[in-house]
Parts: sequence; C-alpha cells; structure tokens
Amino acid sequence: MSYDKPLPDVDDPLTRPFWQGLRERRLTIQRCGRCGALRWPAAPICPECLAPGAEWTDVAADGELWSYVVYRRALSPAFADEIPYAVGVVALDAGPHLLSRISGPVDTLKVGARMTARYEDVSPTVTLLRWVTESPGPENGGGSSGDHND
Amino acid sequence: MAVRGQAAIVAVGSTKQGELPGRSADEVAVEAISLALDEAGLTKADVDGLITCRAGMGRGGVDTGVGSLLGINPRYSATLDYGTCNFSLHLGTMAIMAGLADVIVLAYGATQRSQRVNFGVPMGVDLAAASGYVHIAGPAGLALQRHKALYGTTDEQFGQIAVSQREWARMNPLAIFTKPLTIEDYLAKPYLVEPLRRDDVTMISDGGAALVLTSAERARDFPKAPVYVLGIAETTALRGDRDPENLMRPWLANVARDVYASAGLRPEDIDALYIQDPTAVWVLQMLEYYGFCGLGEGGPFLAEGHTRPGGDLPVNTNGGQLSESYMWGWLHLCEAVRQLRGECGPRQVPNADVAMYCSTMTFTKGAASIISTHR
Ligand SMILES: [Zn+2]
Repeated sequence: MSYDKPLPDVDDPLTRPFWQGLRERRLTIQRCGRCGALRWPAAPICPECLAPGAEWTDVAADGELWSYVVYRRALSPAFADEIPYAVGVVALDAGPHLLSRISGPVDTLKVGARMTARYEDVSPTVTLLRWVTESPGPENGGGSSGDHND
Repeated sequence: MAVRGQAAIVAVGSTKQGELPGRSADEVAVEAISLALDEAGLTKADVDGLITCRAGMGRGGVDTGVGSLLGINPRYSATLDYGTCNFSLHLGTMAIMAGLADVIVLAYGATQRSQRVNFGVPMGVDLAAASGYVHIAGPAGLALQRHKALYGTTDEQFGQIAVSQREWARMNPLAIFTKPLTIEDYLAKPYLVEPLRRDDVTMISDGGAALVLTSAERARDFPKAPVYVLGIAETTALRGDRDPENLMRPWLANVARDVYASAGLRPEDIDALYIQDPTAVWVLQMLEYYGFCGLGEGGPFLAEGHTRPGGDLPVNTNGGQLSESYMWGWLHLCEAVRQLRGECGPRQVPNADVAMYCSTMTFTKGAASIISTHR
C-alpha cells in the first residue's frame, strides 16, 4: 500500500539539500558562510549576521532526547493507524534541536536518553528521519560509565 | 508618561458561550460590543476607537468588517492578528495616552466550533508535520515532559490545575464544563497526548467578548466602578525555535519583571490571578515565571491548593479556557473586571483589589496587565 500521510515538498529550493541528504542517509543542515552559525530550521538568510544564502554541512545525527510526547489519540486522521506514536526533540551534539518521529517502543523513553537517526524511505522520492534510542554497546554491559545498578 | 492610572475599563460584555450555529464571527463580536455599550450606558455614536482581533484561523475579526457591521466611523481603528485581549488592552491604552481616541471598544468574536475548524491540520508539511506532530497539545506536552524530567513534577500535582479551574467553573453560570472533576477522576482518564489528558487542553467554542476602555478623566462618569490599568508589559520571542529552550518560554520572566515595575507592585500584591490557558501547561509555567513560586516549584505549589476556591491565590476564577470557554483569553479579562467590582456571587474573591492577567501568543509573544479599582 502506498504511503498516504502528509509529505513534504522535497523540491522546495530552500530545503531540497536537507531532503536529498536524508535520501542518502546523511543529516545535512545549513551553515552560514560568513559567521559559521548552524541554522535550523532552514532560512534564506542567516538570522544571526544577516548574510544571504548558506552552505550545507553534514552533522552527526546523534544527540540527547530533550523531551518527547506520545500521541495516544488520533488528533490528525492521517496518523490514526499509527497510534500510539512518539514525537521527540533531540538536542543534536552539534547544537540545534531537531524534532521528529521516534521509532520503537513508546513506553521506555526517557528525557536525556542518547538518540540516533534512522532513515525511512516512505515514497519513491521522500525519506524521513526517525529517532531511535541508541542501543547500548555490548562490550560494556549496556550503558555509559555513569551507569550503576541500584 | 507612566501608564499607571491613565486608562480604565468601564464596561465588559460577553455573549452566550458554546455553539452559535449559523452566525459569523463578526456578528458575534458586534453582539458583545452591544452588551458592553449597554453596560457603559453608551451608544455606538460615542465610540471613537475600535480594536478588533482576528478570529481563530483567520475567519473574520478584521476592524474594517466589524466596524462596517457596527456601522461606525471611529477616529481610530486597528486589528490585532493575535488574541488574548492583553495585547488589545495595551494598544488601546497607548491609543488613549496618545490622544488618538477617548472611548475605545476592544472586541473579539469566534464561531470556530460551529464552523468545525480543525486544529489538527498542519499549515505546511515540514519534518515535524510529516512526523504527526499536530495540535497545541504537541508542543505543550513537550514542555511539560521536560518540566517533569527536570523538576520531578507529577501528574497528581499538574492535574490540580484542571481540577481547581473546574471547581471555579462550577460557580460560573457562563461556563460550559461544570461536571465535577476530582483529582481521582482526572488521574483515571487516559492520556490524549502524553503527558497531557483531555482535561488539560482547551475546548473549541463559539462566543464573543468586548470591553470599553476610556481615559481616567472620563472613567468616573460611568455607571460601574472603573477598573484602572496600573501596569502593562510585553515581550516577544520572535526567533521562535531558533532558541533551543523556547518551548520552556524563559522569556516570560522578562514580562513579569516589567509588569511589576510598570505598576510598582509585587506578586504579593495580586489578589486574583488570570492566566490564559490553551493548555494547563501555560498555568504551570506562568505561576513560576511571574514569581508566585520558584522555577520548578509549580508542582508542589499547586498541590498545596493555593489556586483553588478558598486558596490564597485564586487563579482563573471563571474556570479558564479549560472549563469556561475558549475565548482566546478574552473572558479572563472580563472576569478579572467583574471580580474587582465584586459582582461574582458565590465565586467572588473576598476583598479583591488588584488583579493580574498574564497571556501568551503561542511560543512567540507574552503580555501581562495589572488592573485595579484603585488608581
Ligand atoms: Zn551568519
């Protein structure tokens, strides 16, 4: 069955490099050619120094879960079949906060958890970014050095 | 020139709330204006200023439309694109102080319930919209989840907002939701957008509200006691989500600082508090930023019952948007005026002398006003 939910215009000149990046499994966002500020969401000029245009740069698609919500009721009919689903804001290690769908179980999410991106091709032209909880490394038994068992 | 005591609200009007099928937003706004003019003992010919507010989702509320229906050519008129009445009160106060008008009507009408306006439809499709991030409950829920994680706020504490406002609404004949709601009832209900339940989110309703504002000199000539504007303040956060912590709205602290300075008052001076509440999260945030408790201490503060009937800080004594009606904050100011005049019957706050009304335009603007029957 084809994907029938709201889709972005991936040919919008302002955001095309971002969507193209997701297609290629990269997270790419704007960076000001003059002052170097990372820019999210995309804009035609730099809101920091007002320089026109932008360069695009790949950033690590990892960060910390700043907050999340779980849609338990369909407030938009388009997403009714996915209830319950979670949406979260991830504070990228590079700085900007990026909101997107969280894939996987919704009942074990925690603010502050390490998150990483997965890429999902939802149509022949559109790829969406989904956050997933970073799986703990097998060599250290599942956590950072700050972990304890009590 | 200082704002304090320069302008006064001399009349308010509010229509039936709920469903008003077959009527336009402008028509309802004019009905509210008529009610306010009646209370003021004025006719429309006395009005020389009109400040309207665009109805939700852009259906009506423009001054040229409302003024045409009202059949007046005032000296001054303007439309604000955003609601809550606070911004309208401030613009009206400025217009009076500048001599642009002497008798200004502030008005709002909405028929979004009857028109079945769908607040779940995104404006354009970006990554958020493609992720199913819809409705005000989304960002409000994110802010609450963050608050819970940072400060340990519990559902039981947070639920006191909806419960307290329902207790107030049960004493307000204008309120739409008056069924009893205990904290146990609240906690037993399912999440809508976790961590928010249905009772934490405003309904959609039809209705109208209007206020008459005039100069302090003229204010003494009206049938009802004038309610003076003692202080006003605003700020913006137009950078929006470019500021990573914007959902927590830290800039509200600036409005608080400025409104207290404008009136020369402190939080302890406020007898009745009004907080515009599209969701209960706004109440939690503003109790903290306006200095009624410390940052992060809103949960325990609510659990202590300060905001409930009989508490020492009555909040949203009309029931707010959670229980009374969704009038984009306009009824909060009408209620504050009625409380200060002592007209509120069983829900009257004893010796209410000073009221404050705090509101926001989503995540981009904040405003507050302090008003009193004393200059
Ligand atoms: Zn720049």
